Amino acid sequence: MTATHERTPVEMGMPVRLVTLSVDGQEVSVPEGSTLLDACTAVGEDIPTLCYGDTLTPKNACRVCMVEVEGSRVLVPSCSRKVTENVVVRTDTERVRHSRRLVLELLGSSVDLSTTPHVEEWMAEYAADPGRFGPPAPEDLHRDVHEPGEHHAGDGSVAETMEQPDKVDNDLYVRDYSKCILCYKCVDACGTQWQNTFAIQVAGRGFESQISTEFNVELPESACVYCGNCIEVCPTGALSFKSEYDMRAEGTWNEDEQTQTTTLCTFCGVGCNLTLHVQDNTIVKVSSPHDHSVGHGNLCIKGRFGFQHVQNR
Amino acid sequence: MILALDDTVDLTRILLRIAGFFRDESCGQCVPCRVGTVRQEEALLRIAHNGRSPGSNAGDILLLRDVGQVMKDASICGLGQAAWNAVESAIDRLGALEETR
Repeated sequence: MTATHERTPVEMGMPVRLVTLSVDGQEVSVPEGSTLLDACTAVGEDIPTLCYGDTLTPKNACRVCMVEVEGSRVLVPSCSRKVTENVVVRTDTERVRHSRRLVLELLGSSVDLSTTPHVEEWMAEYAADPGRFGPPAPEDLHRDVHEPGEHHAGDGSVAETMEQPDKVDNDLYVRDYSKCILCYKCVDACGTQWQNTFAIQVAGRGFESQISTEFNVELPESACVYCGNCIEVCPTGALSFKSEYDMRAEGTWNEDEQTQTTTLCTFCGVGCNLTLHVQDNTIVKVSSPHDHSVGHGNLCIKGRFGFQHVQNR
Repeated sequence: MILALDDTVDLTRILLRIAGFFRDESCGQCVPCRVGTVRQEEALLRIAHNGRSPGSNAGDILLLRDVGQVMKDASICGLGQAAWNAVESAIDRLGALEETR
């Protein structure tokens, strides 16, 4: 019997059709199924996003990535709208810029965006003035109480906000909903899209909406399994490691001095990747690479929070 | 939609009622409607309270126009997109709010 050359088949995937469209006058071709955001990124447009998550289904909630599409009555969210042949997209019209500016002003006037990446640059780029709606209302101690019936209108002298006490009810992570833009990413990561734990949901509606556990119980009493996948996707820092929260309070949190090392989680054989954030030779936070084929940015309580033993010296 | 009112009606109060309705009915999913309906009501409350002197509401009317436009352009559904229709038509067609009582 003669030796045959064994050849391994190479996985090519299904052939993908290219769709050609126009972005700000430039013609661009992207694979079918791409979003307008993908096409805009391909031509080098930098579109701001907040509720968009690379591992989640778009929720279309923040409305900061809106673009103008020829023939459309309203602006469209670029993070979710799929490309179609010959569609004409504009990202820098007066209408788009007005919409971006106002969304930033509405968010900036109602939410603490101090730990949201890029927001300062965007505020400057779109000349947003969140202070124009008046002085912010004081902290609300009853945001988790949802009364039936009509809301109580004030006299317009202060601008209502999300300002409320931080929820520090366990040793692992903190929920500071004064920083919450209600993007739904934590809810989706906790629910059907990844964890299937369903510990949190949106309670109430309209401006009274709040992310909440069932009956607003504290986290240890809730269904939470402390996987921290909600922290991984939170775009504003409303959810943060207790270690980060404490260091920020002390004024010692310094991202410029931190190193990030991606390694393999050793707790079991699944093969999740961990990225250890280290400051002063101490692990201060753990994240997970979103493009990793095993976990897609998700971990369990052991990988996310089980790092203290490393530091017992 | 057309709402028929006689000239004894206080337009500012009608607009406040409509703005309050939209704020209560907003589901809260998207930012323009969730926060916009609140800012719209706050501006109308200020106008209703400070009333009299002509021209003193110019800042709040500009604010209403800005917020109205983003609700119309960028809200997910028809509720947010229509939340400022009544206020817009009262300002543009009836000249309301400029010299309230």
